[in-house]
Amino acid sequence: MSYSDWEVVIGLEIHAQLKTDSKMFSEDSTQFGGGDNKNTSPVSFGLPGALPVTNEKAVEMSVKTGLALNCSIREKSVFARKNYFYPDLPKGYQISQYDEPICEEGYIDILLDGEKKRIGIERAHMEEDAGKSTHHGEYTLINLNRAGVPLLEIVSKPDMRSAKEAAQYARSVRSILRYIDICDGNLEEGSMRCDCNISVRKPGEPLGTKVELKNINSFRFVEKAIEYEAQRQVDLKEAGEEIHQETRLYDSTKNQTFSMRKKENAHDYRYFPDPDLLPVIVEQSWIENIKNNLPELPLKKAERFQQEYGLPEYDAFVLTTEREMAEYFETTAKACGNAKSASNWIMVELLRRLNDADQSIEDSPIKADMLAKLIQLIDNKTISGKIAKTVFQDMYDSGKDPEAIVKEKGLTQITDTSAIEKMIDEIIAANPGQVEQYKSGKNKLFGFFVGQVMKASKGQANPEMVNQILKSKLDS
Amino acid sequence: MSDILKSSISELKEKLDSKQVKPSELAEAYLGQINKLNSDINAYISVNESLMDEAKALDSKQEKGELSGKLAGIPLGIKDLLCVKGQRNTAGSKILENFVAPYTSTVSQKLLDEGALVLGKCNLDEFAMGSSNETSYYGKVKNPWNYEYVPGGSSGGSAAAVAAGMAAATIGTDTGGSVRQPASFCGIVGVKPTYGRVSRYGIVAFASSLDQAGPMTRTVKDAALMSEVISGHDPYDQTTAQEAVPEWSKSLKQDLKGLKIGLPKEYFTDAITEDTKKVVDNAIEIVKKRGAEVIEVSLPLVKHAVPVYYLVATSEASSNLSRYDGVRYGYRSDFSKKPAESLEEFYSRTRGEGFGSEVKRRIILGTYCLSSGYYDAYYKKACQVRRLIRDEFMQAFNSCDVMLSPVTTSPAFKAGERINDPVQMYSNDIFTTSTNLAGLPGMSVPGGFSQEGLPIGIQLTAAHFQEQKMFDVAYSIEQELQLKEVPNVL
Amino acid sequence: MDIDNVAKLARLTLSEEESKAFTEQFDSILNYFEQIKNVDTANVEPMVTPTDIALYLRKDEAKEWEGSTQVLEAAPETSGQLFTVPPVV
Repeated sequence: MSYSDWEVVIGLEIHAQLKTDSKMFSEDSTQFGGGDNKNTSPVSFGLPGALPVTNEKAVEMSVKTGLALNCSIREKSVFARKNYFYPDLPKGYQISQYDEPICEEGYIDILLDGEKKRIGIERAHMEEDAGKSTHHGEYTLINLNRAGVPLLEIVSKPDMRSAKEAAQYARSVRSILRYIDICDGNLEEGSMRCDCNISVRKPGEPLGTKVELKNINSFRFVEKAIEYEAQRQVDLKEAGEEIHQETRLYDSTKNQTFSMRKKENAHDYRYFPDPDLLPVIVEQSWIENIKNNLPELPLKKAERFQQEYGLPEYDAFVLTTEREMAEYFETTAKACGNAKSASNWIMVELLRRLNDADQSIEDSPIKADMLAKLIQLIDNKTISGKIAKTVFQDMYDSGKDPEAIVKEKGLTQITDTSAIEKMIDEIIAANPGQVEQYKSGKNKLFGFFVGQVMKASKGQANPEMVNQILKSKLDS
Repeated sequence: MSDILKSSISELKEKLDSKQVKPSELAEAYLGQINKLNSDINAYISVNESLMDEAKALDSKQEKGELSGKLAGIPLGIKDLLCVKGQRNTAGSKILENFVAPYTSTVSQKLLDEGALVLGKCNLDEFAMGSSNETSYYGKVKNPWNYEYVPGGSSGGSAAAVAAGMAAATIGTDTGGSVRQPASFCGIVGVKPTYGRVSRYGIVAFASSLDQAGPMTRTVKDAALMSEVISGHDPYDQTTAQEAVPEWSKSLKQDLKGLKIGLPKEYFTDAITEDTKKVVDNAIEIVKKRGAEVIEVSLPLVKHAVPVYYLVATSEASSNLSRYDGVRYGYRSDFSKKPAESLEEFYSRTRGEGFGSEVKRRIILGTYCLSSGYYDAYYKKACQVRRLIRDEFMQAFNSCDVMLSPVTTSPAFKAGERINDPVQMYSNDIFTTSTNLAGLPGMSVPGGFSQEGLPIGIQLTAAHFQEQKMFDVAYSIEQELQLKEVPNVL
Repeated sequence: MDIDNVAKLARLTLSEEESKAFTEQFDSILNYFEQIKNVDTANVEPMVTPTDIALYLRKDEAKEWEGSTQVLEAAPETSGQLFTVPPVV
């Protein structure tokens, strides 16, 4: 999209639901699937006299995330109450962090069209989720199962300049969150939520009025929503109109953003430190320990794959999007010693089938060591690449070992020169007409002869040898 | 039977242990007194309907010699802020008129675990906001010593119940003096432990950084015993301390040799009435007689205690009371005939109708103090001065062990006398609020009477977690005075 | 203080008497609060919890509470197991 000479300035606020067993401030389960209002307790109901108590694991996961996002971790961070009234907010305030958030001043590098760009992260802070309100006719229905689930709100700096960059940033953050196993990162289900702040300006001028976009539940929509909104703002500015600071919702069916129905006055949240909670103190040694135990993160892993395995950038990138996928690749590559082949088989054959069956790499019926075996069978010429494809399908359907399949079905490649010669001689003898035509210049008939040999050998003749011997016999 | 009603917990325990009286007889006696007096005094909002069943169950235990627990068979009143599962919990408000607690507060559970019986829920100023128990939706409470006078507040019902023999002891809560002041007005012992000693889980919150539940009893030993029972770290309340709880009641001393008692000069002003001065002076003589050294200390910042207290308390309260919105429990306005035209109206009508005026006044004040543009000048500033007040106390406790002072400037005042002037009403708390601000333990012990026969208490304050010293001084005063007077209704 | 505005923020309707009484009283109450401005608090860290209390963090273990049904049964209005808020015109 082009915005004439306007610069689009984008910042993203990502809310990640932390994968804890219990809620941020109470013992209620965070497990999906309980009955309505079943994952509850006096605390999440906001009953008179209920009090919050901080979940240790949520703190740990927040620190882990901050470190993975290159943030500095505050040794003392404070919970604050954000006061407002809404039916799905049981206490009439949300416990969040305001002045003293646990993580600050971080960054991640994203890769877009071969270029690396650094996106700053302003802060990441802990807070609790609200319940869910749905509308049934004119009534509003409230379910508090989600109320109190731990969230980490990750606020980027307004460093993005295009919808693509923003979507890529969101994907990269998701990838990192899944790598360190603190969040599912599922935009559709809501375990990760993405709000966008967009403004436009002429380059060099101060920031324009920002508009907040909500209700974006896929990465594709992140891009589309931003594109729409940026254009809307540019159009308004070009017409000499002002942008109103507001929250707009994205409608994916119409691909538009629209103003929220109710008039949103600027909220006065009256933040103050929550007197029911003590400041969270994290010891330096604890932080160090978490840091030392961080897994290799996606971008680093992709760079290493390029260096260590000679993979092209794109392949390295695809293979490292998910940690399990990267591990699968590496196990395979190490076992068979042929990284390029491993990468191809995974990206072309395996991924297609998994995507069609809506499965993840962990569900793959072909385990990494089995795939490695298959590749070895090709590399040591036991089977041809073409035969390997049928073996692969068989492995996928049955989960069987490739060697067993080759043996059972007698698929071993024929590499015995004399056997191939014999076959070729037979075919040449049986097709004198085509031989004549070929010798008089119809080179395309070569393929016919190859086909005949493959047919006679049930596909098991080594193709290179066939080509070589056939050519030498026909051309002589 | 009236002997029973004048007995301390220690005395009752003896009678129960020696089988001189049955738990059901005890429960019946107090129930009888409640039936006799509650329509006048109005100390109870609700009475436990299962009381006699529970008491009879203890009878069989007593027969088998299996009555165990520090408070086994002792009938107690609980301020209607502390949740007891299955009992109403109104907070003295219309907005919780129909609320029955589905869980039990930690304090109540600790009492029940020691075998206590719950007589009922005691009346209070609405949401603990008041110093005279005149703001309850369930009617005023009268001072058992003289019905024209207030019992004090906010734990007015809890105090009156003990004074009138309507409970062996009760639990109140103290945010700015709400246990100590009514204890003083009603001639009984009232304790506010160190902030963090007692769990607030299950207690309707007024001001989270100030509230502490505490016992209201006939004797100092009873108060020490009940304090032991209710204190201790609670994993459901992050603001509870992990300090060990000493057996205060077992170590009470009457000999105060070696103890230094500080008299904060800012508490001994002209505002104090003659009678109060006499009673306090007498107490000072007693502690000297018992061997304590008495010195003067100075706490210049306490003059700011009341405004700081009200700034902090109303701010926290304005947020704590947001949950009362008619969505999940409690009162909801009737929208069937006139629907709300906005979500805002849905909330405002329910809360506007459900809360009394004093509560609304404080919520508005607190909301204002936290609001954008005023936060720094009011709430934040108050928190800074609060730290200075606490530090000043801690400094003063370097030169003394316990501070002695009046609880209030005067004995109980007449009902209706101060309710219309908030500033005057708030000034009642002048000697008690700084204790809460600093998180210190404090208590009131009966010191004598005014010329009109109204009780006057002595306030004792100790350093953080030093309740023993405070109990010792109170014990000496009590043992020396041997006050035997009881209200006529007892 | 703009009482109406603050009452709105706090979601409270006030009766006429209340509104009148509060308007009169708040001036004197706020004046009373003003005195703390004179205290020198330069470099003083605001204090929330008045006692030194060691931080206690809860272990991440889920526990079921059996009281949920009771709460729903006693709620002002429910639809199945969900709280309901009536239609806003």
